[in-house]
Amino acid sequence: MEPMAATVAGPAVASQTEVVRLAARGDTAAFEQLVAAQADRAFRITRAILGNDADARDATQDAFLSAWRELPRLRDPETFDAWLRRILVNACRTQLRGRRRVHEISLDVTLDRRDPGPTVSDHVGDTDLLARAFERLDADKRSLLVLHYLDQDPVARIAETLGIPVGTAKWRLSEARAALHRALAAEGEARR
Amino acid sequence: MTSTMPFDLTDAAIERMLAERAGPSAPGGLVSGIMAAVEATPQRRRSWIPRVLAPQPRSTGGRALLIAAAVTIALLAVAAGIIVGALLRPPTQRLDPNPAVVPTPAVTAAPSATPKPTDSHAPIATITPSPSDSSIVNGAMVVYQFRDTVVDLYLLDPITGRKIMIGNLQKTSESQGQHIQWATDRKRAFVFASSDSVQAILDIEQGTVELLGLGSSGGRDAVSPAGDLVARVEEDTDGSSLSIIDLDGNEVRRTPLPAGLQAFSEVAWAPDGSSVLVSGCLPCSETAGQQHDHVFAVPTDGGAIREVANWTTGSFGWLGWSPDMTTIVFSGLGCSEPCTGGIGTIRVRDGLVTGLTNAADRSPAWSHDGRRIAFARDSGTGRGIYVMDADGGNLARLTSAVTDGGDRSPLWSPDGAWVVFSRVAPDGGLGDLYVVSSTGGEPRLIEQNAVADW
Repeated sequence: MEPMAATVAGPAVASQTEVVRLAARGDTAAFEQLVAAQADRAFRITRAILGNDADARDATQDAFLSAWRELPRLRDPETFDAWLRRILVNACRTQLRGRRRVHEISLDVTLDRRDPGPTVSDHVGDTDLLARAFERLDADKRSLLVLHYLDQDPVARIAETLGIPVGTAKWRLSEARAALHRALAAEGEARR
Repeated sequence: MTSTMPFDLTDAAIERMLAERAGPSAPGGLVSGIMAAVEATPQRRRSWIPRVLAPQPRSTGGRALLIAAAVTIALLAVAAGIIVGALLRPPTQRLDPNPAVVPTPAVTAAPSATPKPTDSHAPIATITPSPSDSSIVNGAMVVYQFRDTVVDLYLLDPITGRKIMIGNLQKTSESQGQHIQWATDRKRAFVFASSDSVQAILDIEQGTVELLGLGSSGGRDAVSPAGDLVARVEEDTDGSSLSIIDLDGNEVRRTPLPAGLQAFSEVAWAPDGSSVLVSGCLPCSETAGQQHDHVFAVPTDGGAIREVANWTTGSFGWLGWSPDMTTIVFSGLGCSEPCTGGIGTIRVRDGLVTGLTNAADRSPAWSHDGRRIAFARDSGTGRGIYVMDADGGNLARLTSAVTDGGDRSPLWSPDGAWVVFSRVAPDGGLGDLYVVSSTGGEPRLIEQNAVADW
């Protein structure tokens, strides 16, 4: 993520590190600055992982609320971005597990099963097929792919976000891509 | 599988799909909604417990303080458990998660309720079930199970369904990375939840759970066979190193790994504790054929690192020593499509690499006598649990995965007659434990949302 200071307007711009410190001491106005600067990106990450507005909104809100609660325990304010994204990923995992319990009545499932229709272009059809393949992946694989392909994170930054060695992040990303490839093949079989 | 691919999977296609899923921007009112919730939510302040969990050397005085604190928590928790349990529900209620599956479970003493912990990682109960029933202890699995707001830790004979509760940990997240492992003497077991930096010892004879303060490596910790040391790969600005720490969190030895090596976090102790295997790539490349993978044996006595094997046609993933230390089994993790990873072995004396299977196979597990290998296949219609001889012969399929998450992580019973595995849902999670005869048959559900060692 870009440093938040660059996006904060005003003559006396506090660095993100200072804003994080203030928020950690209970300053809700400072925390609101952090939320305002990060909410859009956070929502897009959760929306991409979860696939619908309602779950993404819940996960984003849960993540920021968790960040607020735990902020006094963050030892290094400079790691706030990576720390927040880790919380976001965990919030998405929780959402997906909750969805497992109500899967049978999910409206999304019904919509997903509709034929795309003859007017859909090949391009949109491919994207739709790939999106359905993506739905077959677990939360960890979805998160890796979203961080890398949507957020354009290099592997080293993903490793920092997830708190794992670079080598491990690399093969987990490779595994996630391979899993998407297999899921796409399975969708292809199902379409036949 | 490639014949059914509807189109080429390119980076651009993935980026386009994810951009569409992400949508244009956050909906209006999101920030105000978050702040309304924040205003009503108190922050959690630092307490002494996170310091206990921090990876710091502990002095004698600090250790005494820790023990005193742990004893206090345990006493409070047990007292609260007794009171709340007596008021709310009988002890047996917590011990029978699958009454329809487990035949005539013999319930033993257990923590009677879930008292409120003082911290998210604090052990909430220590009980002494006096597991004198050697018929369970000797051949039991040790199980880590998510249940509501707690993690249950117990022994289980999956064949009879009999179990002995050892204790609980407060559940903190649904994320993966949890594992549980027997020490070789089977008097203790170790719990690691890497994503939450939680480590704990289960003392089977005492019936206690003790938290360790080893901090987080970010990867997967591996406990020594004797159960007295932990190995982990760590990275800093100087590169990767293998760190050996004792159970008080003191670093016993740090061995720098070869410069430039991108080490994988999965490490494997030799059965005699004399060395630890580390794998990685040098150089690393996403282009097939240009990556060079290595396996190194790092002596735990400070001796020189020895390269055990290297190759350029595949990627060493998970590693496992055979019980007699003559052979190392590995899974070819990280291979890109078309995946030709598979299970292979390394002959320790000369580094000879032999491929045993040629599919997306993972999680190889030696039988306790070292004669057979179980593994999970994760490709196409062949997905399921398999067993084979140590040389790849007599390959037999035990299960067919019925979920998109697949069947994973097989474990052998001590006598080799049974295999336990995890059946994982598409959305991940710990998975459900099933047992199947190692000669085939119908798998039987034994526990839900759990991991185990046997």
